[in-house]
Amino acid sequence: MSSKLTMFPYNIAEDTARFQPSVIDSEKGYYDTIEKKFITSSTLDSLMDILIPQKNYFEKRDQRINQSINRIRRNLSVYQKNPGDSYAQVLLKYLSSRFLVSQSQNMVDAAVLIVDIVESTKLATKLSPEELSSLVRVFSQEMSILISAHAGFVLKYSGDAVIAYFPQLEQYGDKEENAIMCGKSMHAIIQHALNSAGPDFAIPKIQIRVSIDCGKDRIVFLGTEPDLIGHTITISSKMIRFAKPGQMVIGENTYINIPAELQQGFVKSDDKNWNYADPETGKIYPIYISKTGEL
Amino acid sequence: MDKKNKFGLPDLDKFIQIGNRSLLIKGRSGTGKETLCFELARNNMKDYNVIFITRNQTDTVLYRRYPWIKDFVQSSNIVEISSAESGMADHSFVLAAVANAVANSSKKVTDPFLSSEVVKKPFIILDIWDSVSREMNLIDKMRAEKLLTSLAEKYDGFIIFLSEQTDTASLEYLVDGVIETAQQYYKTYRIREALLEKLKGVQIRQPKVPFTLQNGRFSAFSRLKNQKQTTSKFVPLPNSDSKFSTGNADLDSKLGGGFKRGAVIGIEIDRDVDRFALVPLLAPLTLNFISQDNPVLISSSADQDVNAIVNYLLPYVDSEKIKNMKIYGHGFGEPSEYIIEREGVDFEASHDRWAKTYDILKTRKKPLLMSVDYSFIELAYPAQGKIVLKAMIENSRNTRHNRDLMIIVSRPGFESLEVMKSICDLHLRIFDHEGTTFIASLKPQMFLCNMQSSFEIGYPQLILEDSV
Repeated sequence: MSSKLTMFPYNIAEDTARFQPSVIDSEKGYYDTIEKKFITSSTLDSLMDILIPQKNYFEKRDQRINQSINRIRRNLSVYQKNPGDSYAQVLLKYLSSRFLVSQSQNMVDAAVLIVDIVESTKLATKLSPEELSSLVRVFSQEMSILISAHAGFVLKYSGDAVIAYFPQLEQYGDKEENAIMCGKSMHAIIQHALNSAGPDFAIPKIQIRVSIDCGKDRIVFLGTEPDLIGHTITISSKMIRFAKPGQMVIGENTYINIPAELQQGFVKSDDKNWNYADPETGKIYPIYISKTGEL
Repeated sequence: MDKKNKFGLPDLDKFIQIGNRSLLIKGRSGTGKETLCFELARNNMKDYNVIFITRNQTDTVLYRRYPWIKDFVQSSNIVEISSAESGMADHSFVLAAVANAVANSSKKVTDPFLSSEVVKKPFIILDIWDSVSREMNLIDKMRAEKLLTSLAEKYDGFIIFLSEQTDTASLEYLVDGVIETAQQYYKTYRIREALLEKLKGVQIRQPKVPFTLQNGRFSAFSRLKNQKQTTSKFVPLPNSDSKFSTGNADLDSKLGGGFKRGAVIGIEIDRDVDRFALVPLLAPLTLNFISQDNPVLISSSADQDVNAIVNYLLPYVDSEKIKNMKIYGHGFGEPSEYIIEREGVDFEASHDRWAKTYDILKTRKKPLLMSVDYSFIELAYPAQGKIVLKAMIENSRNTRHNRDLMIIVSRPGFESLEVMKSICDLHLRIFDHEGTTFIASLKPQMFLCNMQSSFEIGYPQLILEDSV
C-alpha cells in the first residue's frame, strides 16, 4: 500500500477482515473478501491516486479530462457484456460506509451535493434500456470519482442522480468549497468528457444541474448500510429544480461560508416559486444560483 | 418421456443453491462418484467456475471419458498434481497447490474503472484427498480438512471431496453434506444407489436413490408414474417375419426386434409392485396387435372391470378394429360386445368358452395375442388348480403351433409361476427397488432396466433405462 494512503478512511489495508494480503501468480496484493476479487498492490495504488482528494477543480485542458474520456470510452464499449459495477465504484461505496460508521456522534456536519441529469425522462424515450443504463452507469462513475477527488463521499445513487456529502476534514480544506469545486468539475467533465465521447456510441449530449447546502445530518442504518437523513438532505433535494441545465444552486448556509471570490459566481434567486421557510427564522431560506459562464 | 439426460436429484441441486459450501462423496472405486460430481458442476455452471484437482488425470483423459464436461470444465482448470513431481507425502505442498489453484481462479481486478463481468464462484472438485490424507496423522488431517473447507468459504465457492476411504468420520463432521455411492448385484445385473446421508438445510425426501450411468451420465431413476397427457391414435410398429413388435421401441430394441412368433412370454410380477406397472408393458403390445387388425384375447383379473380396460384402449385405436378384442372377465352387469362373462361358471366350463372364443378369433388365420394372469385364475378357482395349470400348458401349446403370442402373468407363491418359468421362452421379472420399478430379463439374461411410463407421443409407451 502506498505511503500516501494513510489518511482515514483511505488506509483500507488496515481493514484486514475485508482486505487480506495475498500473493497470487507472484503478484502481491489484497484479496477483497466481500467482492471475492484480487487486486494487486500496484493496481490499488493507481486507483487510489485517482480517488484520493485533490484541491484544484478540473479544467478543460486538465489531463484528468482525457483520463475520463478514456474511461467513458472503455465502459461504453463493453457495457452490454459487463453489467456489474466497476471495482472503483464498489470501493467508493465502501469508503463512504467506512467513514460514516466511524462517526461516534451519529451526526455528520457536511455539505450535501446532489447532481442529476436534466430531462432524463426524455432521454429514456430516445434510448434503448441498455443505452440508457450504460449512460447512467458512466455518469455515476465519473461523478463518483470527482466526489472522491474533492474530499467527498458517495452516499447513494438514485436513478439518474448521485447524492454525495463532503464532511469537514481537517487535511482537505473547507467542506463548502470542496463541494462547490466538485460541482464545477462535474460540469467540466460532462461538457468536455462525456459529451465528447458519448456521440461515438450513439449517446446524446446531456446536461446536469447541481444543488449544494450544508449542515448537520443524522447517520441512520437502513439495513446494513449507513445513510443520512436530515434538513440538509431535504433542502438540497428541494433546491435542485431551481437550477437550470448547466447551473448550480446553493443554500445560504453554504453561501455565507465560501470565500468572496467564489460568492461572486452566484446571484441570489428571486424565483417566487421558492417558498421554503427556514425552520429557525421562519423566513424564506435564501438560495443562490450560479451566474452564466461561471461553471 | 424426455430421453435427454436427466440428473434427477433435485434435493442435491437445492443443497448447493441454498449456499452450502462442502460435500463429501464417498464410495468404492467405480461407483459413479466422479460422474455425480460433474453432473452437479454442470447443473451449477452458470454461477460457478469448475476447478478439478486430480492426482493423475490429464485433460485429454478426462475429456475422453466425459466428453460432455468440455463446456464447463476448462482445460486450464484441470489441475494435475502428480505424485512424481510433488511427492504426495508432502501434504503441505499439495495443500498449497490446492489453495493456489483456487486463488488463481478468483477474479483479478485488471481495470478498476471498467464495469465488471459477473464473477463466477469456484466449484472445487478435490479428487486427490485420499492420496494426501492417507499419509497424515489424525490432527494434521483434521487441520487440513478444516483449511480446505474454509477455502470454499473464503472464495464464496463450493468444494467436493471424493473419497474411497471407509474412515471419513472427521470429514463427515466438517462438511455440509455427505453422499455415498454404492452398488449391489441382482443375478448378473448391477443396481447403483446414491445414499443421501446428510444435506444441511434440505429435507431428504428419498434417502436412497437408484441411478444409472448409462452413456456415461448420472441419471437417477424416478418412481413409475402414469401421467396422461395428450391423446392421439396409436401408430403401430411393424412385425417382422419372425417377431411381433412389442409396440414399444425401447423394448423392441432390447429384444432384437420384439417377441418371437409362437413364443410364450412369462411375466413375474412381485407382490409389492402395483399391478398397474403392467400397463405400460401390455397396453402398447395390445394396441399394436389391435391396430394391425390382429385379434386379442385377454383374461382379466376377477376384481377388474372389463369396461375399464376397453375404455382405456379405445381412444388410441379405431372402434372397428377393437372389435377383434375379447376380454374374459366380469362386466359388472353391463353387457358389452367385448366381454365374455365368466361370473358363476366353473373353470372347466369357462375354459371351454375360452377355447371356442379362441377358435372364432382365429377364423381369419391372423396372429393372435393371448394374455392371462394365472395367479388371479388360481385365486378364482382354488379347488381347480391342476386343471388351471393344464389349461395354461394347453394354451401355450396352441400358441406355439399357431405361431401366436402368449403372455403369462404370475406372482411369487403361486403354482402357476413355477410352471410358467418352465414353459416360457422369455422370463421377465418386474420388481420394486427403493421405490422405483425395474424389469429384468431372467431367461435369457439380457437386460435390467428401470421402467417408466410415458404419454409424450400421445399414447402409452414403456421407457426403459439400462441399469449400468
